[in-house]
Amino acid sequence: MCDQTFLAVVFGPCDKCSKEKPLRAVYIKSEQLSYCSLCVEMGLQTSGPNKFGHLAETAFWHAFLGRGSPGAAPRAGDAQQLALTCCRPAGAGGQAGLSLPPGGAVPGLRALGSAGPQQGRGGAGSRVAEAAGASAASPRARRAKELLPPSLSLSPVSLPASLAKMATEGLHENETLASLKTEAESLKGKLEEERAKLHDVELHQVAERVEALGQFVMKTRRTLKGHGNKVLCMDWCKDKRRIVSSSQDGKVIVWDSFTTNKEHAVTMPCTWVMACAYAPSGCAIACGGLDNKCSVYPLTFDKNENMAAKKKSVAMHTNYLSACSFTNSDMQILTASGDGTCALWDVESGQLLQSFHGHGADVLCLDLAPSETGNTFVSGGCDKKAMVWDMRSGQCIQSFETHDSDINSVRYYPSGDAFASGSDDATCRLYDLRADREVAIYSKESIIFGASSVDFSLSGRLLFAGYNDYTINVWDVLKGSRVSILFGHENRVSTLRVSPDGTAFCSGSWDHTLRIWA
Amino acid sequence: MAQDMTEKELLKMELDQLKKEVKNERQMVSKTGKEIKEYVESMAGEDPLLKGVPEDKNPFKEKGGCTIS
Repeated sequence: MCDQTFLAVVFGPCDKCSKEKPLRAVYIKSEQLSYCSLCVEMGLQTSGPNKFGHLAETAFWHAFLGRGSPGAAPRAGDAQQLALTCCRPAGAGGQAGLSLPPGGAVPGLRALGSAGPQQGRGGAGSRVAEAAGASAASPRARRAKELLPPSLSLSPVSLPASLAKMATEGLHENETLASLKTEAESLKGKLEEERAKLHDVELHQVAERVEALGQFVMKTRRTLKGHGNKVLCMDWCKDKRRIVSSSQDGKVIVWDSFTTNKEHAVTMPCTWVMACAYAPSGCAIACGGLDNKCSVYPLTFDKNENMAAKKKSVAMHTNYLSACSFTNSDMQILTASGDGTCALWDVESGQLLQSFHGHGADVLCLDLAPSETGNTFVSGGCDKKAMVWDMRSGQCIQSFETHDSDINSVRYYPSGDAFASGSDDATCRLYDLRADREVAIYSKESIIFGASSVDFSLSGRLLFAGYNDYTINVWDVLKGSRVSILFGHENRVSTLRVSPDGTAFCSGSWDHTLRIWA
Repeated sequence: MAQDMTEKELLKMELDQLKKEVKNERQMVSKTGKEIKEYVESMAGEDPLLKGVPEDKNPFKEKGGCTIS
């Protein structure tokens, strides 16, 4: 079991003999190839299983296609490519063994039910096929295409007969489904009415008399180079100087931002480490991603100690880990996952303390309320909802659904009474928790790329947002206008955090670097 | 887990959540907006990214040469 993630061609020309046959994924000298079963046999006989690496695990994709017994051959027209994680499936369904990078690597694959209700799951084969076609234009499918190497093309999945049978049984399901939908729509309408009653004024009107901001001069003060691939996440240490960052190549690095020195580095057993966090004490870091886990590494300055040896696995989800954060102490961690749930864990025992169910799709981000305001946190997901949770009871207190696409980032306002969100719909929005509504939208017609990450300055007057068009926009929170636009990164900005004392902010990007701006 | 739930179960979950939320207490935006504005004004003086920091106090200032004394 190694958690390597790779794309495997399931049916096509063998990389060794070039004949068109069902293929199995093989790992040779760090290269992922696809061999037909004859070449696999020959290879095993000549070079042995060690040379071929991971060979024993490659049969699992048969179970995933739902054909029952392993060894059932795929046919041309079946999924051309699958994103696979090399590990055994945990349950009978076989889905647990599958991990996809965010966005779902293959539109047709999501329709089979790994995540995302809007793709039409668990029902008629024809619904799935049309969802697969329709999804090609959606932002998620666009992003999925960007994640794949350019030479591979995607095609929809054709389903086995057993799912088509479920379609006829699904007919009466549809009646109660429709009545549930109408009830939900009418409740949403009522909620909107109640919220509208309090909407007597816009935020920028309240702030009319506030002095406008002058010109801002912010530039890159440090560039942290060292990651070998896209930087996906970063976090500041409470000492205002250290930073932990994680990237697609599996590396997690701790930097001293003043000197740009690397203090620690650890290689995770999985790629796409999408989440990382610094412990409040500064003595440990947490990280996770496609391994579906959140692991805690104590930081040690002893050169003889191997950081990876002291790793502790804390959280276990059934899909990728998208975000993690320590609570006020090193003892508890809050995680968000592609399986649609958030969870609170005890670090020492690895025990699940509370789980939070309510999102209808992958949860992509979370943020804890500033400590003075109590035990709540906000999460945002692919269901376009932002939800505020009570950590003790596990209940969702409020939810907001005004974005038009996935919410990539949420951040509490410094006073704790509001939060901002950044989304693939190219807008950032401010939600006031006591008025229970969205009170500001930060957008411009010229901004068409999604916002991946947002954070506030210390006073809450400025909102920094990193976008997929490689820029960082600085917004005046009160007036709703853009104050500044920062250039520098050479690929999309994936993560952005303001330092704990507000003197600078750090952005991480797919261009493999992190930049400190002040 | 959202990934294992049927559309019906997801809708039920959403419905239960909406029923709870309709009962929440809310305040007028004129009041809460004002509080946000006041918070900003009270903290603006200490916000280094807002008002700038003199170069000699900024820990991220350009790395200068070394002086040996």
